[in-house]
Amino acid sequence: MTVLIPLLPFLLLFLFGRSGDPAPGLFTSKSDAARYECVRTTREAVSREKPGALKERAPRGDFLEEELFRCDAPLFARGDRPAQGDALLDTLSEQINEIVAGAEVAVPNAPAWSALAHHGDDVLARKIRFALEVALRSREKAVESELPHLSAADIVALSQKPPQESYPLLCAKLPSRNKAWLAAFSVDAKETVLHAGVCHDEVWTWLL
Amino acid sequence: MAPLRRLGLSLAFAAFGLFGSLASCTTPRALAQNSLDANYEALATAESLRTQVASQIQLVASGLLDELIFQWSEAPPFEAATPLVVGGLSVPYGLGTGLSSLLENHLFTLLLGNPRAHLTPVHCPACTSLFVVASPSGTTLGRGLETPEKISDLAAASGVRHALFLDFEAEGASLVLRAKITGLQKGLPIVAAKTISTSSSSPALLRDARPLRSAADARKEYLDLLAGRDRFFFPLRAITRIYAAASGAATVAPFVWFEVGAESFFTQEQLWGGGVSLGITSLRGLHEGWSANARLMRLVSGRTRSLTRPDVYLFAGGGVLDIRGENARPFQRSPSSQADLVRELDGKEPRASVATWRLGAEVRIKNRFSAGLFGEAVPSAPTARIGSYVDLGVLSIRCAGLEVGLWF
Repeated sequence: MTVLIPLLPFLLLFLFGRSGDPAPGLFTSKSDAARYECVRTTREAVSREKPGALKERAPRGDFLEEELFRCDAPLFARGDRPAQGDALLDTLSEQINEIVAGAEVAVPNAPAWSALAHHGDDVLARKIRFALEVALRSREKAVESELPHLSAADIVALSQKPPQESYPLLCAKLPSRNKAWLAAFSVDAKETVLHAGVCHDEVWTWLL
Repeated sequence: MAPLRRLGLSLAFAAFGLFGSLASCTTPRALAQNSLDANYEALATAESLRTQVASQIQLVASGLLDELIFQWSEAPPFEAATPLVVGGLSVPYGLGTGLSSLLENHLFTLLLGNPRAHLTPVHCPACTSLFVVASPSGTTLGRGLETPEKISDLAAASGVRHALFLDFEAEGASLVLRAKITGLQKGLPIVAAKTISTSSSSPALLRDARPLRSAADARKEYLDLLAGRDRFFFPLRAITRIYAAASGAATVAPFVWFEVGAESFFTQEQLWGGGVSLGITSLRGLHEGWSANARLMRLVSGRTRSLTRPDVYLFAGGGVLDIRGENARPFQRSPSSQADLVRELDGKEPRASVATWRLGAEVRIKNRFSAGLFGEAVPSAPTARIGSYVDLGVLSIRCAGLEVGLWF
């Protein structure tokens, strides 16, 4: 026991001096480590975001090689939300931006825009439509939030057809003379990416 | 024959009971009940997880609202103060209405406290109520704000011409706020829209809502506060020391000490700290004493002091106790030293000075209140009267202590 006393400070340093590395190891299990998404970053980026978080390096340099990673844990751990919705929402901003960029190319001069969304989950459908509207407006488009008026018979008829047929038919029903309708939808319950198309002047154009 | 018959009947009854109990476990009703219990348990677990996530993101979501209103204060969407109704605030997929209520309250506080944003919240219950409108073209069921046939009526009745809609969503490690202001007229044109996002690793700035300042100013104020944070703290502690009794010896009376000291932390996160203290103890007719102590402590309940939870520190230290009176006898060396014998002959009260080594843990609440436990080694005290609670070989824990502290 007496022999271990000189090792006690090193043990304490080992226990309490670790840098909080999220890599799997003695104090972090593989499942905990897998939660983090890490990207390499620079000292300047860290100083901008968290001033004072890093100690200044010695002006004449030191004998340490430094690598900085920004590791973020998802707000919802895997399994906390339905998997398909979770996966789709993880990349929602990127997908929306891609869809809107494609729509701008497909219909560059539409005087007004509206957005539609379809998903098996109504909550997700509302969020997708909201994101489309905000993205369009952020690009200085004239966006209207009103939903189209379709009869129940039309909705039933369109819903019984596969998307490849139903959306072009839907386009014929929408008032698209002076307005472009941007639609994003999920076709299959297992999909985590959105399909999209734009309807303008009664012409349907697939984007994704 | 009779005993055999009795044995046979007993075995038959036992078998019947065994199969009956097995059957009760596998009946459809039992299986259904087990399945129901499992579902309830899963729902309870899911609810607990949702509550934890909602608590974690509430501060971040409030920070996003702060930034949104601040940006609109800097570049208002309208030239003059404009009444608008909060048409809806949706929270991340998977969370419920509790979080949306908290965020709505925060939003109203921001809107009222930042008139430079030119957004005046208006109460319009009819705007969010469900309506059924029958017209020749069909029957529409929807909220007032989303029903074209009702919008003009609502605008005329309440004087509101615009509605604000907000949507929060968790996208991986980022929390994204999307906001749109919609005109309450035909077509529902969107007059302004913004998207703001942050990541889970960015701490909430906790800006004061009236009025808001920029994120950079808030961060600078936070750093100034850290740099100018009080460096010294002055704890006042009440400590009870309970000594182990040696086998066959009378119990040593507990000592109650009062200590006052000064402590300081070595890092801004207050991970490591140290302090010194002086203490006194007195019990009429039995003992008086003083002590001098020093300790080193380390935060173990996180990587920095918590804003919302108590902090746990481990500490190690040492000190000297000097005790006079009858209660000092257990601490006197045996056989007594010459000085002790002379003191006895002179009629002076007994006296003992001992060194101590202390290991313990304390829970602190915001450097205002603490409570702790420790074990103390008193190597120089004789073993005739003072026993040992735990013998670690090198150190023998002979005293257990409780301490309660107030900080100034």
